[in-house]
Amino acid sequence: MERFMGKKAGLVLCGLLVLAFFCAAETLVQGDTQGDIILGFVQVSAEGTWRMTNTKSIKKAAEEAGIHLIFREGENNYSNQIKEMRELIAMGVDVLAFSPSQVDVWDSVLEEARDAGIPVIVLDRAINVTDSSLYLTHIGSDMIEEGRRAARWLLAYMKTRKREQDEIRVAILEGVQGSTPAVHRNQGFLEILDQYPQYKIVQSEPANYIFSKGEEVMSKFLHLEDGKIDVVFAHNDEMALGAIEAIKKFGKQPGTDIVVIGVDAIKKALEAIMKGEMNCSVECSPLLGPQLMEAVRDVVKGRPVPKRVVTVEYDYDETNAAQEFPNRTY
Amino acid sequence: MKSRIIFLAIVLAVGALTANLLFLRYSVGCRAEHATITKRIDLVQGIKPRLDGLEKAIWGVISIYDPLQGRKVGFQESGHHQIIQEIVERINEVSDMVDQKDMKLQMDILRRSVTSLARRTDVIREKFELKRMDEESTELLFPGSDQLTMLSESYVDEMEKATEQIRFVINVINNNLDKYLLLELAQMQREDEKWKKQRQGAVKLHFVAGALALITALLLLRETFRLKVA
Repeated sequence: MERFMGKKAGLVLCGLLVLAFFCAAETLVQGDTQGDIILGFVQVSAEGTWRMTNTKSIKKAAEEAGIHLIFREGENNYSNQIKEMRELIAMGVDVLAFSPSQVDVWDSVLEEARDAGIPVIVLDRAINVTDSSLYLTHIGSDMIEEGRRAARWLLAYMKTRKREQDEIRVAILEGVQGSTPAVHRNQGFLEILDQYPQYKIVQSEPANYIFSKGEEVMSKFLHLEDGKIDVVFAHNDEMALGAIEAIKKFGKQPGTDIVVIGVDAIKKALEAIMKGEMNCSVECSPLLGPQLMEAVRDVVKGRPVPKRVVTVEYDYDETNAAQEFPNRTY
Repeated sequence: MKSRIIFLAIVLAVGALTANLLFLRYSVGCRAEHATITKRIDLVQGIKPRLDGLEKAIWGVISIYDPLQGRKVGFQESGHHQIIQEIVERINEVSDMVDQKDMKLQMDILRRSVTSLARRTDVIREKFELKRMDEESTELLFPGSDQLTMLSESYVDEMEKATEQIRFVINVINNNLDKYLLLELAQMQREDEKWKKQRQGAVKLHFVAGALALITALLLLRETFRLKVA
């Protein structure tokens, strides 16, 4: 009987414990938002592999860091971005971050953020502001350096082909006019090539970072120059891949007859390098989410953050593309 | 044998009673939850006319004429502080009644937006005070001159900009109120689904319990007759 009572008491106790567990779990689920960090982020657009990977990285990192993210998107238009930023400022987010679509135009909205006491983080592309204290830090690639890296790679490549004394006719597929990558990558590329008079920029036009536009503009270049183009430098891989299609349609061999250089090092570009249709892709990593969340935490905790955080990146060509290919997720 | 059947009958009766009590408790709880959601929706919807009132009050001060009062009004009389206070109180009340994390967060965003609104209202109040002091000193130094009109005009742009900012924040708050109401509707839908499932379960349980009770009653009846015959 005593044993039976013991069993009964044990069962009752177990029941109570299960009940207590569910009550505690409910409390945990209900939670409280007090002390949660709210980050407002304004993305440039939803277009392209690079941008989509960047967005995914930010959303995933925010979730992992337990930071509440209010995500907005500017449809590649700076006025939309400013409107979204103003809205986030009005909502009183803890930190405001954005990936700018243009170099200038940000002073007034950043002043609004400063007046509201909201720290600002610039992600990916750089901006020009009259007062650099308007933003706290800039996380992203050095895009002028990316242009320089592309030019340096080209010089080294031509040396291996023993063409360093030849006249080299270069075409450039630019990004959206006035956008930071377009301005900075061009600046860095020309800064190096200007020192070598045998390199002639024969054509340069925006193709807006889009594959189809890259194909269209490159096709136009080839017809205008009667196919006499030695190198095409595209401000991103999507346009470079578009240019490859145009070169093939024109009856030339991309990667052999015309050297193709892109920026970003997306999976498709590495694949094209492995096929021998593309020659080089300068990496510009979109996986900036973890760095952004780390900076957000530091800012909220009042820890000092460096004014500039440059991401570590590599160049990929026939020597290392196959090695990197399996690791590339975007 | 009979005592066993009686024991079974007691167990069934107690079981059915407990199930009924639990069902009743859940039903009451569900109704209470519905009432709470409705109350929260009412409270949140009540914020919108207050925001309209705030916009009108600020406009009354900017235009220096309140059509409702039919006279010149100052910032102190506009009652904007009281309106903001009422909005904050409503938000806090709703926030205290909310359990869901996403809804609490939406309330937090609303609270922050109202703080933003209060800050911008203070900016316009300061500008208004500055304007009033400037006008008084000009009136004193250059009585009857054009300086006063020029001074008033110089403030027009600033005032318009500040009012535009207030309107913008009010819009943001209204949008966030709509988002919150959508969350409440989704919550109500979830509660309804839960209630429907619980009800279906209870109906099945009652059916099984009823069948068992009938069988037990029949067995009990047969046992009683058998004993009588013996």
